Amino acid sequence: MHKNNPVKFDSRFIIAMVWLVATTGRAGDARYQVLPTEMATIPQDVYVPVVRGKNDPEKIPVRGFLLEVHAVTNAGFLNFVRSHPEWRRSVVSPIFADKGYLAHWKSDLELGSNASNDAPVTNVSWFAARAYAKWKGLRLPTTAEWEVAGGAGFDRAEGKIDPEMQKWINHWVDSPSPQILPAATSGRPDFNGVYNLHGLVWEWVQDFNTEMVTGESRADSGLERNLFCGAGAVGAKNRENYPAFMRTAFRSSLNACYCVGNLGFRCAKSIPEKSK
Amino acid sequence: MREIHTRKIKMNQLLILCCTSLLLNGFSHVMAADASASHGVLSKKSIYQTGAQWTDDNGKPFNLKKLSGHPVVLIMFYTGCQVSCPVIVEELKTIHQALPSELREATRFVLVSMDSGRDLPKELHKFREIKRLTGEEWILLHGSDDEVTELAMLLGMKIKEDSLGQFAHSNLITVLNKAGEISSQRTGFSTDLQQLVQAIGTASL
Repeated sequence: MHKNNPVKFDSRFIIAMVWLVATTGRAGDARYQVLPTEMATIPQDVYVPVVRGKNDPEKIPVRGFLLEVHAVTNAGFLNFVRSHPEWRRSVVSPIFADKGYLAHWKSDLELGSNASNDAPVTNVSWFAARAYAKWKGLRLPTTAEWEVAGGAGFDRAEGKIDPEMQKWINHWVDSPSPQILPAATSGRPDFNGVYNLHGLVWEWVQDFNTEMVTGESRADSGLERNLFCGAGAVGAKNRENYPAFMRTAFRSSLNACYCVGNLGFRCAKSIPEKSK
Repeated sequence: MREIHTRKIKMNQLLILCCTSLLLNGFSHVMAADASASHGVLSKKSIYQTGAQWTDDNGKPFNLKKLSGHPVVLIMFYTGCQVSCPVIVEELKTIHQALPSELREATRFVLVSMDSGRDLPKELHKFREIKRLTGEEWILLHGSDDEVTELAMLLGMKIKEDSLGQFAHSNLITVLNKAGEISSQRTGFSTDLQQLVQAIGTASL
């Protein structure tokens, strides 16, 4: 330091330093306004599982419930991560999310060019999806709920008899996933006003670990008896619904910490019982 | 001279203050993560970090963190199981006997019920007596649906209740090390219980 020119630490300098400190670590995309996601009412229905054990119910009644009209987006999930630092990619616990967690983002808090704001977030584990849902005061849908919602057509309540919906589903099941996903609200909403239960990404459900499908095609095989207690005589009852069977097989292959590039989620909410 | 000297000290102090602030900001995400762990800092791979609250078969609250420092053999079961669980429990008893005495005293055998509705602490206590699971090495736990689901997910365990109140479930034995991290797992059945004894030895290191 020169004796004749002592450095002055005046208030402007202090303010500048404080501002620098305060803004460091918040690098990321410019604040993208994320509005709360609209929820559609899915009317009460009955879920017929495609694969079930001999003591599993053939039909599962599903009460009416609320479902987000589109999958959770990258921007929405970024908001969650911003307020929950333990869910940042660089520090997340490996038991809650594997190495693929948010792999398509540029960094902890930056989406980057491979993850558009409005596309469904993927590469999130069941634990991450569940934590996000909890943050919003919501939950994940159950398998039965998701499948009932997924049974809707475009122009009519029942998708099974809607040729446009059947074409859409079968086309997607046969196509490879695009590198960069389009917006969660792209395409047509279905009869309930819900976007892309089919056609974009697979989606987490609360109870995916109830599916116990092995590669073995014979019912009550030795392999199943060894790996699972009580899951004998599990068989595919409805072979015509190939996409539903695909979803069952896919869920069966998952572990809760898995982060997959074409697996996202959306949230649900129970409708409170009317007081009598 | 004195004035300049005083200014120099102040300047140094400010520099240190600003540098420290910048550094701290950079490390803040690490500190935030650590802040969420409680006293004994849990490993990020420990399944005890969820802070889930269980109840033992005496009706007392039980936090899995209590198991820190012990190698653990953990299963999920239910008292009404007629097929796999009885076999697995017998296997655990055999393993318990086969352990060298020091390891036997240190190891905890934790049986968590997947049947939150029926396997209340009293039921679990009855089960303990019927199966003669005497001693503090045996821990039987009841938890809420949410806790049971979370634990099953952490272990990679599949569970499904059928319409008769029976559960289809994975045949899974998990060994945790002293930090509560999954050390090894056995799926299905095997006649080679020595492997499990060895796995417990490894987990105690």
